Amino acid sequence: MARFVVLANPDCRRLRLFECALQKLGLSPPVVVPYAALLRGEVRLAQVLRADDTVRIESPGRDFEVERLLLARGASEAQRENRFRCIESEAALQLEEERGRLHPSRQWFLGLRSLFEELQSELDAAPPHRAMHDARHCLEMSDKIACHARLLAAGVPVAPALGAEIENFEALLSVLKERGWNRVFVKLSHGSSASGVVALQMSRGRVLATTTTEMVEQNGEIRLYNSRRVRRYQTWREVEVLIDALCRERVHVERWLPKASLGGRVCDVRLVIIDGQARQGKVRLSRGPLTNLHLGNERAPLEALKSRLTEEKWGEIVASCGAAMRAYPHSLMGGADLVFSPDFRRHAIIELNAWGDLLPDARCEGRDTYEDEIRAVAYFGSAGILARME
Amino acid sequence: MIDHLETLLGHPVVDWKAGEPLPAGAIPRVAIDYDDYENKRSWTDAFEEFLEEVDTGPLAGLVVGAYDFASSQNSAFVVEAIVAARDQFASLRALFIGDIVSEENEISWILQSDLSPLLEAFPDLEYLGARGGDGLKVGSPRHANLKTLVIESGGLDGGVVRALGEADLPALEHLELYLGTDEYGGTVTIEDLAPILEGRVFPALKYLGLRDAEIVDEVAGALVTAPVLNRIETLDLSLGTLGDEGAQALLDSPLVRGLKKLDLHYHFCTDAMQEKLKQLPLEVDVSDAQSGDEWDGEVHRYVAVNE
Repeated sequence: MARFVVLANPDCRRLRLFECALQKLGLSPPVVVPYAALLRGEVRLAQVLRADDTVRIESPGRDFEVERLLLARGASEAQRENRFRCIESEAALQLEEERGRLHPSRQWFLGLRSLFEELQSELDAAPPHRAMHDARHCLEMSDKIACHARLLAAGVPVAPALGAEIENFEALLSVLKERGWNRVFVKLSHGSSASGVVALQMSRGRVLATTTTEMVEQNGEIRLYNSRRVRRYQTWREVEVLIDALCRERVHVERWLPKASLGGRVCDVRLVIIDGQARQGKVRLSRGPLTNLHLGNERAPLEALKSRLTEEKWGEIVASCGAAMRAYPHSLMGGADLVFSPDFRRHAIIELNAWGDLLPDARCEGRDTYEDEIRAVAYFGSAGILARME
Repeated sequence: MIDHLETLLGHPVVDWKAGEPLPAGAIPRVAIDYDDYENKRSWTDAFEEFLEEVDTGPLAGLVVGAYDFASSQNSAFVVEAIVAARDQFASLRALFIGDIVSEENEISWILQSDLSPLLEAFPDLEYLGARGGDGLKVGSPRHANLKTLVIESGGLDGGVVRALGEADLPALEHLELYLGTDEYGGTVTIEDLAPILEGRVFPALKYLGLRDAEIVDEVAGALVTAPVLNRIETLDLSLGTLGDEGAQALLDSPLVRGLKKLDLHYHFCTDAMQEKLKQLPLEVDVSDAQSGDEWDGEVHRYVAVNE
């Protein structure tokens, strides 16, 4: 019988929601392969996978033990690369969990890269099966510089970005001056949601950095923490220290184009794209430039946005979403964040997230993202699953 | 957060786009966007195209949106251009300079200039509005028809208010000032406001808005016995950092009871105080209560529009 094999952190909400959707559709619970067990070498995907299985790769986030293991796994490559902040493998395994603390983000990514490369080669050698994701795609969508470059090359409307690594604040200033840009977003290339995002603006000797990242100095070292509070750094010295610290984690810099607002709040929209179709969505509203905060920001239904758009414009948005996912042809789904010019005539995809389908309350034709994904697999794949659902 | 103007004098405000006709009765917003800025199309270019393309004679109003994305030019060139084109705006009654939102430029970074030439050039003007306090001046205008003056800022210079204290605006019904905070150049004091609060100017005033003020508790205290309350119908102290102290002063003032409306929305008053305010024999807006940000053991209150 066809099974779902899910690579996930067993306690995560995403897995719960996926299991609920399976149950709702009358399907068996999935076989769960915990990231931690995989990283510790206690289990290999090849041992679990059988012919006709469907593999789902969930987000490795929100589990500190997994973060430790990924950091440890990325240590040697990070040291070899020698360009971004990194810590020893032993030190990584002994990290204490601290709320909001930002750990070496490039090293984390390199750990994930090593794991996913191994995973993908196991999948490539495995018996015939279906996969909801391509591990290489998940990885690339966890690299904002690479993902932006791919979307740009595919002709998807994106925000203009520097497209290169920036060493420090001084280097950033000189590039921005060259381009004539005075408002940009500095984002961690391997960060999720608002983690390490700075809205930076400069004009006539003034500077302002709006961010939820907090700097804490300890023994002469700057530690970064994600917090719930939006901070404004307004001195050149503070902003330099902040941007320098973020650059040590690898940043993606894109132009801050004026965004449209709804009801007096700056808005963006997360659209979940499943099997090439824009499906569930959520409009996020903010009093400030940071729209993708988990907390404190208001939400609105997709209809609030659609009512401001012409049918033709909505069609263009749907087409852009489809084009973005066609750039990742072996991935069944992704979550795109889109922004609009103030007159709603232009749009850009500012982020594409392999794990952007966590929108528990959003429905499309009565179904949540997980049900849609399972149905899409069933439709295209196993007659066994389809037969059980009908 | 401030949004783009949606209406002005009851007319819808719409973005004017080259090559697209304006809806009948609409007031155009002439602005440049990021694409224009990239393509080196200046606001002056856009305004020239606008004058050529649009029959401006019947327009009731004109809104100027973003005019400079690099914050290198103040609004003087905009004022000059409009003054130079005055003969083409025979019906103009409303002008707003700087309808710019924070996504385009922070309010305290908008570079304004002396707007008084607009009042001289348009003797029939009824509405003048501006956003951005940096460099803004209106002087001590003498104008027979101006009914509404709106100045939105993240911090208003005391000099602007002192100069207004010597203005001669016999028709002015609506005065709306965003006082802001000292952090963003707000230096207005109670003393600066005295001529207005004492009713020495603006004999026709019906609405007084001292909004977005960090000094709103002080302002409320000074208003308690202010003769201007005998004249106006609406007192608007919204968007500021009003707490129970200022609210209590308003509550205790017999003059406040003679008003028709008290707008206090976006405030930091306690629930108990809000209940008391609602008991006043007039329309009171105490919506959008704020709780303040607490950190380092202190509660911090912010005005709604700053930066």
